[in-house]
Amino acid sequence: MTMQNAPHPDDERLSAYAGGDSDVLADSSLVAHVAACDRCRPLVDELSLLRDALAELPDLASSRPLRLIPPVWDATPATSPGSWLRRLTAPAMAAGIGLVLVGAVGIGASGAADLLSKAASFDAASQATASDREVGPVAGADSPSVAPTDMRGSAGPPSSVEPQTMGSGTPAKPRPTAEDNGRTDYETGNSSSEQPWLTLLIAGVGLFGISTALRFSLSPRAG
Amino acid sequence: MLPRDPARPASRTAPLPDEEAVIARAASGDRTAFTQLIEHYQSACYGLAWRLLGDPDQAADAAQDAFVHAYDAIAKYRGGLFRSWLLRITANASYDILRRAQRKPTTTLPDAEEGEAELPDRSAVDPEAEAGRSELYRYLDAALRLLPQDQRTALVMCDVYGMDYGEVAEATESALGTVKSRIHRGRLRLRELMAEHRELFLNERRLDR
Repeated sequence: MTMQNAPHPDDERLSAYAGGDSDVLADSSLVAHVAACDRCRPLVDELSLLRDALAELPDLASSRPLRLIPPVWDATPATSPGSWLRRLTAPAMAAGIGLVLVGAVGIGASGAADLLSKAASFDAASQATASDREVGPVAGADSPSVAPTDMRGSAGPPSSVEPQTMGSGTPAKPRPTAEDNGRTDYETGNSSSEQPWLTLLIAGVGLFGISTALRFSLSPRAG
Repeated sequence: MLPRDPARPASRTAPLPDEEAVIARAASGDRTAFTQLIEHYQSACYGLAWRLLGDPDQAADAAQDAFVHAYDAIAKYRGGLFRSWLLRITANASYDILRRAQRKPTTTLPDAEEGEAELPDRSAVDPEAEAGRSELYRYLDAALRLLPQDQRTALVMCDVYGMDYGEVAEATESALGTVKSRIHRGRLRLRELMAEHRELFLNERRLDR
């Protein structure tokens, strides 16, 4: 049967018909036309067969061997239970190094500050001793037992740190001798101001060590 | 007549007998199971990539990219045909390579302008074609390579590998209407390219028309 007067549908619509598109199949006039048209029906048949043949094209083997899993993935299971923990070790190591640096800088800075304050107290004591020689002991001298000749043991200026009360918190301790007084003041004051920095440094070393150990213990085994 | 809905032929890789169990093991991190799956479907992935890209080396690269993506995503695999899931990943990986190749004009793909394309004779058909393939399949692959690239991509994804319009649109980042048009024009153009071999085509299809 030939449909002489009916306009033929667009070829793309016939291709859609051959492909089974639901909207085209729902077009009853197009379906009727294709069924009756000697031009459109063979075209749809051929396109359908072509589509069938394409769907049967076989798989192809590569001429070169394909790497099924790249080595970088091969070494790391996707759902390794320790993988998330291992990922945390790098920032933890960095934080540890940061703490160590901050602690070291803090210790250095406080040491320098102590040296400066010691130098200042040394100057003040020199001046005070010179005055003592001229007018005798004055109010403000910290200890009456301090020998006038002991420059280090003399009380510092009012602005100087009072390490005995800051450090151990045991002011009832027996007073040191004049010879030891200066050294004790210096050492006690130094450890007291450095203590927070030292704590930071030790914490940083600990954090770095633990995270490093974790990282190596959780690293995937070869093969 | 109504268009047929053909079953997948035996020449295509069939699912593994215990595929669901193998997938479950692979999804839980078993590399051996994943390798088993990929080994089984590698020719399907390579075939798709080769038909999209037209170059053996690029096809191998695309397939391997797809394996990496699949390894990354297998824990999120939620059922369905594993072959289709893997082929969608391969189509995306191939299209990524295609886009990169388009930015580099030195790496030309076997693309032909409509009207200029002619079917090569049999000796010019790609040597990678397997010896066991029928002559029809050889000519079909050769004709596909002569399609304009956008039509070839859409037609291969849809008619050869069974992706629906939406999946093709997603993979090629194109509008649905554009994809449909490319497929229909590609199908019509392929019919023209196969015209000289229609007898072979009809014989192979064992038509009793």
